[in-house]
Amino acid sequence: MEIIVQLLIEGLLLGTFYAFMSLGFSLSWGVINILNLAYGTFVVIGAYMTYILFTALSIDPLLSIPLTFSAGFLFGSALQRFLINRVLSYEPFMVLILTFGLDIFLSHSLNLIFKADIRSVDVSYAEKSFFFGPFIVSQVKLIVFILSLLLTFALYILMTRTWTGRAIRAVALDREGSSLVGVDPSKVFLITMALGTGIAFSSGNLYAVLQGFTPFDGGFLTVKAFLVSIVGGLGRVESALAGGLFLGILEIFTSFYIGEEWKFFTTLLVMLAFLIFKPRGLLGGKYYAEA
Amino acid sequence: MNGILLGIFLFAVTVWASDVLKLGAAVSFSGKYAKEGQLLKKGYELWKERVNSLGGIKVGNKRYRVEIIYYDDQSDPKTTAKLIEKLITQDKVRFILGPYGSAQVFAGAGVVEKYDALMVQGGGASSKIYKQGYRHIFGVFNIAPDYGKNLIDLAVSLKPAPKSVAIIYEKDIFSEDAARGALKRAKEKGLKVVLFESYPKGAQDLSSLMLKIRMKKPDIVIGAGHFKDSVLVVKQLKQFKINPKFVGLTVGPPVPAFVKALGKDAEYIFGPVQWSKELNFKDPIFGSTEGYVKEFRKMFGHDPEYHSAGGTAAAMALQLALEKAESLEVKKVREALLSMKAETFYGVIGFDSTGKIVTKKMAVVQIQGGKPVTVFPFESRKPVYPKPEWK
Repeated sequence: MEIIVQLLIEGLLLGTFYAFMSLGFSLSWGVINILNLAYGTFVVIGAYMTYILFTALSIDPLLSIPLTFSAGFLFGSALQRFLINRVLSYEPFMVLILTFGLDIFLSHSLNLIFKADIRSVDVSYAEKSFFFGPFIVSQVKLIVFILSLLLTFALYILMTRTWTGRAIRAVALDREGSSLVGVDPSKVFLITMALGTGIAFSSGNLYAVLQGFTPFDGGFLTVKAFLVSIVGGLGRVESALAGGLFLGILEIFTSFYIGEEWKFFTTLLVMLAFLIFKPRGLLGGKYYAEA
Repeated sequence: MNGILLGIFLFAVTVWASDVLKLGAAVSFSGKYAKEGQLLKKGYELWKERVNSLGGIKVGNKRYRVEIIYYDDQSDPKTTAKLIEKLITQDKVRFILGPYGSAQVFAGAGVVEKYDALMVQGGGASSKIYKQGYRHIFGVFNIAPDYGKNLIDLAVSLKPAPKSVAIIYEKDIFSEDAARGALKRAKEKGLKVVLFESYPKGAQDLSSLMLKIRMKKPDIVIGAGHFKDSVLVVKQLKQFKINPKFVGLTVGPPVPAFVKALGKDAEYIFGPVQWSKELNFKDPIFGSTEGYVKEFRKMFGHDPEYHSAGGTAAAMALQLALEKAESLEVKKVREALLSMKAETFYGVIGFDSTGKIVTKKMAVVQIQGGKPVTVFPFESRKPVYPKPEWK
């Protein structure tokens, strides 16, 4: 019994990180209707930025979150403005191919610059743990959990309480309708992509303190973001939370009861099952066409 | 006067040995196995410098200076295979010095075999390498199951006797092989195996495995993996406050970077080694094991451990075979290797018909005071057991 509670704690901590990490992916899919295959590599770029800031300027990885977020925001807007906008009017496959190519380009560039070495950001609080009776909670995971929760909440406020957030949701719900009432979709696309990439970069900070990373981690992360989006449903903050927690708990329980090596397999299997039986996710409604 | 004489002598040597024998190696200088790869390269480099300063390799009546072409395989077996193919086909190298890591050796071996080149390696220990019927692959490492076997043999010889063991391993041909060696021995010795489980290559978080170990409270924890895994396992054992009496890790403890990465936490951890600098053998080019250690220290500023020694030993086996064969033909060199029984700083080198070394034993070291010291099968220091709790 104790062990189940312990596993649930682990799953909750991990799941919240997944939720925050996937938000950007889910947003650009739900709002602009593009699948960004380079998303995981964006997270990895954030992790490397954190690494440089930490090793060269000794800036704590948690304090550099605003920096990586801003860098991601700029990178995302440039990406949308100069690359994605150009192919958006063609069939959806073009965007897929574009982001696929971008992923290869970026991950190999990282490999050229940083080599294939596993890098890690070794902060002093990384090895400590809290003990609550029989339960153990790693300090760094708890910090990442709290930060993910705060950032996710901040995004929720942004999406529901600000004009920009409402505009994003309006465009996601009905492109034509929103332009009729004076919202310019192309501007919203730009902001969404910028915001999404900012989220990706800054979740790189959290990823970097959680575990070691290499230039080629992006693929796995993209698949995770994909699963979170499918399970939860698209474009909404609460859907990402549901999806993230689901994935976190699924991974933890699979590694414990079936074996670490089955984690990825199970993840893909569940994704397949969702696509077949519940393609709109746990919280229903495909965002883009939702009534 | 002496200077001039030395000058003339060196000039004579260079002219005398003006022919060049090119060797090639694809080794991990980046990626997961970079630490081990760099040590292996040091072993090759020391041998090369030494041989060249002695006038090169004597093959028949000719003397050859040695050159080694290196490529970085990025710790990726597919890249190793590609680079070895490049060495053979583009750089026209016939004799390959092995890569680091069983998976890399295994991938490279197929290519070497295809082109009828020859590889001598001190970087791969999986027994799978020798089960393919390859004829041109020779290795100076004892096979991987010996790593696990030696750790268990040491553990059960200690008092108070341990009763249970947890074995975790990286999903990789070397580590799985080593873990199975430990499993087999543990069962033979009547230990209770409470956990035997793998984790995927490159995993960076072993939380669920740690939770399991924490729940089962084994006396012995064996981790089969490579350098990076060893560091990760120690960090996470500490993070989860798991305090077994005996922690043994297959690759890691003897590597200098292990103590550097873990500091005090590296203390009292056991690790099997292919070779120890405390051995005592005669050597044809370094004089003795001691002479080897001295030369190594002079060139690199630290003591050699077994990854470097394996590299030197592999290269030296090739050199001795070339000299004995008096030919650069792969076929004759292969025969010379098969019939070899040579004493070197590394131990006696001799191979069976599959190409694996059968003439030497392994040892186990423990980190004490920041340094690996040999504690098994001979005790240069007494092993510290049970291991004190994490601080």
